[in-house]
Amino acid sequence: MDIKNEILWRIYLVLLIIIISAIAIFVKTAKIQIAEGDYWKAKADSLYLEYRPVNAARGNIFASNGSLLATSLPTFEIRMDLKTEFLTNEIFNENVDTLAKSLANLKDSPFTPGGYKDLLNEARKNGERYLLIKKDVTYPELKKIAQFPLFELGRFKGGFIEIRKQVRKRPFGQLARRTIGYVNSEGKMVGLEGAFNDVLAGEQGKQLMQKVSGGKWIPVEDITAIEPKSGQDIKTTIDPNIQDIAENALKRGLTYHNARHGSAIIMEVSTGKIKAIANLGKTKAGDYKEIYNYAIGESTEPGSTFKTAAMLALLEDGYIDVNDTIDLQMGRMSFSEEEMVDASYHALEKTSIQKAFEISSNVGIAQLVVDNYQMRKRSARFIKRLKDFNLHQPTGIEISGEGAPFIKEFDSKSWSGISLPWISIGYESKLTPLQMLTFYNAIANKGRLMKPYLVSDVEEFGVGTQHFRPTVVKRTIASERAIEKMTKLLIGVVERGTAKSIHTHAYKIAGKTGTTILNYKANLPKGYRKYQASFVGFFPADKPKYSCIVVVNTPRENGFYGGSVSAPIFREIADKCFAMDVDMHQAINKDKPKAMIAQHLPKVKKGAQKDIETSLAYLKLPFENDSELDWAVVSNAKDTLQITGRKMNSNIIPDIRGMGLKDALHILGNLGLNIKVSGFGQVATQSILPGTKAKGQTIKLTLN
Amino acid sequence: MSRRGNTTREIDWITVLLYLALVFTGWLMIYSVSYTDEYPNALDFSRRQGSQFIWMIISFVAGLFVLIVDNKFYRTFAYPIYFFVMFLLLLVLFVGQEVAGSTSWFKIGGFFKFQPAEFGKFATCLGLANYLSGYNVSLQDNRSRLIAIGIILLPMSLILLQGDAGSALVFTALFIVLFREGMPAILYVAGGIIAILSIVALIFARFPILAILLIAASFLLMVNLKNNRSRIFLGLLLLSGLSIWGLNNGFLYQTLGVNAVIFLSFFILNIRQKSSSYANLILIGLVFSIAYTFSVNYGFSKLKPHQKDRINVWLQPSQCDPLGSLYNLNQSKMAIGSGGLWGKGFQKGPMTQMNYVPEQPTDFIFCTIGEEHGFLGTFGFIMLFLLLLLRITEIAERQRSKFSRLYAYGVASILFFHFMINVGMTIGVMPVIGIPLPFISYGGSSLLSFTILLAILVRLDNARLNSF
Repeated sequence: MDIKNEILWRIYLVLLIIIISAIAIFVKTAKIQIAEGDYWKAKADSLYLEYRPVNAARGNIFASNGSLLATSLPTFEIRMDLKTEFLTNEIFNENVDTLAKSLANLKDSPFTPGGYKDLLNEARKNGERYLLIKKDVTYPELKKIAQFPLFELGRFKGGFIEIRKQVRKRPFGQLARRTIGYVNSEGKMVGLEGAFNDVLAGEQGKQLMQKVSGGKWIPVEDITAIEPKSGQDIKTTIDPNIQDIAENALKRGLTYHNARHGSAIIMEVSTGKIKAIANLGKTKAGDYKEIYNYAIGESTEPGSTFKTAAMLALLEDGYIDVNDTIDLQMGRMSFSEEEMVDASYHALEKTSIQKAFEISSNVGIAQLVVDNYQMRKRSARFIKRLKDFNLHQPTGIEISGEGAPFIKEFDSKSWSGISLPWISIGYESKLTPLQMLTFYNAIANKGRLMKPYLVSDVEEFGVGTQHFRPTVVKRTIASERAIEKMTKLLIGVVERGTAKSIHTHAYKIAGKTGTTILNYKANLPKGYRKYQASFVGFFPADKPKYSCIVVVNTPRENGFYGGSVSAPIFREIADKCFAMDVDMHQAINKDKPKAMIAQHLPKVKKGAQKDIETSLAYLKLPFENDSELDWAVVSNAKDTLQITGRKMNSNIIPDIRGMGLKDALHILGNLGLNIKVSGFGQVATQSILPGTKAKGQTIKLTLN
Repeated sequence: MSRRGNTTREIDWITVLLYLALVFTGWLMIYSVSYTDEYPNALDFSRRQGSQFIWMIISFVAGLFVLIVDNKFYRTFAYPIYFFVMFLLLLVLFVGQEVAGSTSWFKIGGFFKFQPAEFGKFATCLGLANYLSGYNVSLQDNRSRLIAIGIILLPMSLILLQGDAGSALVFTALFIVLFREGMPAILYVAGGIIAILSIVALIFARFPILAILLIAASFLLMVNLKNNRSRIFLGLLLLSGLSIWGLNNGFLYQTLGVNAVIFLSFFILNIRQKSSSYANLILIGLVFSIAYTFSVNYGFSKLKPHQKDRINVWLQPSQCDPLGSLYNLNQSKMAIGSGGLWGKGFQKGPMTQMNYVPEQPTDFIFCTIGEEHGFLGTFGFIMLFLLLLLRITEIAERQRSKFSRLYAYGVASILFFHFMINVGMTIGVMPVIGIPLPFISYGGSSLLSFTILLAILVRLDNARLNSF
């Protein structure tokens, strides 16, 4: 073998090895992909079938009047599996045109029929298993689309896939947003959504799903699927009208005073139902939004609103009476070398306790408490009284995050000589607005302490499954006598005291102002102090229906006192609640009618005698009637209305001027006349003269 | 001659186009694997597709640079390059980053890392080509043979020390170069026999091995007989069938006995016809083979568990646990097989997209081609690669300079080895050895080094006309 041949066979051998190897690989891949293709494919498909949880439809949250506060709107996404096994070319080609046309006819469809046809054909060619047809489809639309050609064949034959999605909507938007709740940025549910999640969420179902490319799961029709169980609805005590009033009033107040945040709660006195709970905080953008549930979560030193508790304790123990005198020492007094000053300057010395309370004198209240408890070595008794009022207990409201109340114990380490006077005027303690309101509500409720609550019912498909009744926490927190005196004092605050700016004659308000210096420990001069202005009370004071608290944190403009910041908000809420609620108004005819003179008596239309009599009796107007005829005219006698009977002839057209149209039609119709009417009011003219014989003429009436 | 041979007209555009086609195919496959709805962007640099794209740009620039450099550079600096890379391979043992059990990565800064073993490939090609094209070097003399083999074994052993057996094995491909240059064929035959014996030893138990060796020896003795060869051949075939039956039915000793008797009778027949030296050679061969096969099993038992698994998966898949050692291969076959004839379409292969296949974007990228583009895709890809290999051999044979030809063979051998092993392992015809599929697999070092490997070849080929 010469060298050339030697080299050549080596080259050929190398080439041969390369080619044979390539062929070997090629044959093996052919075997795997073509001969064994179906086997591997079936094996691969089984890999990504899995039972996966399906979320149930979330229950609704209703207001007390049945309006929806939060609901889950089902929306659907329509997808199409163009590679489903039973979708043959024949079926597909037969239906693709009509399907494309139907899709193009949908509202907002992005393609023409031709465009859809291309899309479907292309997707079919590519073997799309999850082609997006339409997003955000409503239920009625879904029903319609499911009837489209091809789709009507269902999941397997027609490749129709519907994916249920849920969008949580609050039809009232921001209204009570924080209390109704939502999923916050950390994925935690707040408010009622969180508190009642177990009820609202329902039970997850299971559905066999297949994983397709892009990491998506598509449902596979499967008889073993476990249907999700829809969540139950909850009905809240919130009245959207009152809620709206509260939020608007609060927002206006906060904006006017450029406050940091604030809250307002309205409670139904007899039950403890929370009718509205508004929480507004100033956002970075400068507007007010429901950011945090201050009403429930924020405990602060309550300030002067707490004086009611001190006063009630004194009254309950019988140490004082409202008319006793007290020396206010012109609003300055030292307790254990710590000077206490009244909030605004006055020169009062000897004055009544009632007056001291009405002007919210720190010196007065603290002095009374110190004299009657500390000086007599029974400070613990005062704390026990506060506990009788349940001020040391959280309210146990349904939603989480309630701030813990704090009432200092007499035997605690931090107790000092000045603790008692300061506690008595609302410092060294902590309460949330809701806890404070619960206490005032008990006063309004004649001593009966109600547990505040937000959810009245749990319902399933409109049928109640659970009903929450009002809960009495304490049958009575103080004697009826003490409560009555307390109520009088509170009414006095509004009529003459610190809240007299909101006094109204329309109904009675009882309440107490409070102005807390939030950063008093820093001992800052007046301009740097931060205040919390509050007002808490109830109305109508003589027959309390609602109690309400308004707390405004850090008002920065236009005043800072509870009486000037929070009380007007309270008044606005109270006014509107009062105007809206018929039950609170005195009926016009409640009292005996006063004697009337003729010129005050109303003018009464001619008409049917019975109608006139009924109306006048209802309105309790004095009248006399000596007629038994069907028709009558009414004349004003001296101090009474005189009903005189009127005879109608069966075939003579009467004088119907001054009658109402209803009566006129009745009479003229009975006479067999054709009637033409123009204008409004009572009959002013008639085209045929009275006394004419009726024989089927046409009569024209002008009303005026 | 005034022709400089570095104008673009004389660049081998076929190679360049095949290269570009492979690189872009690879990038599309990586994009397909890494694609999700959240990251749909083809050039998202936080994702693999984007990172690979950056590496593509880097590789293109490096390739261009290689093409601009004077062709004499590569020959002149072949040894410095070779030894510099050897130095890096040594250095990485001490300062390298350990990744998955092997110390083969340099980490520079917090982000950039590269694997010197990848660069060992073209460096060794250059070194080997330079040595063999030297004066007074001929593969006919032992000294040259030993040095040539030494040039190959040096990087191999350094990489083995790093714990990267797969990359080390790649260098055995360079023995193809030696073969082309006239290394005695008998060495390759011996190597082939050893390889076959090893496989036999690993597949079969003791008795079947003895039976096989006896029958094989009998066949060899039979070949040398002068009379009745065809009849004896048929008889031996019958004996083979009988032996299989006997071994399967528990007649182990009987079968061996019969085989031994037959072998002895042939041995005597050979001696009788005065070919005792041949007969003795076969006998010695038989004894050595038996000894070797028995020692293979001992050697095998010393391997690491995952290496044993990989060999078992390759040679005896039916005895492997489908959910254990066989799992990866099964997933890989499932992905390729489920592609069928047409494939599932670009970005529509759930198996490859959802990480059902191990090392999807790197070592098992071929699965993506198989799953998403079916048999047509794999066929097309194999053809593309085969064309490149054939083109490179063609280039090799048209070189006038021995250096260039040797280098070209080196390139072809390395690419061939990578291709065979990588594709072979995904479909179960080769053991799983973790080496990338050139130009296709995800990975910067690999793409860059293969680009340089090929670019040097194109540069050398480009200059062939002025290297008389």
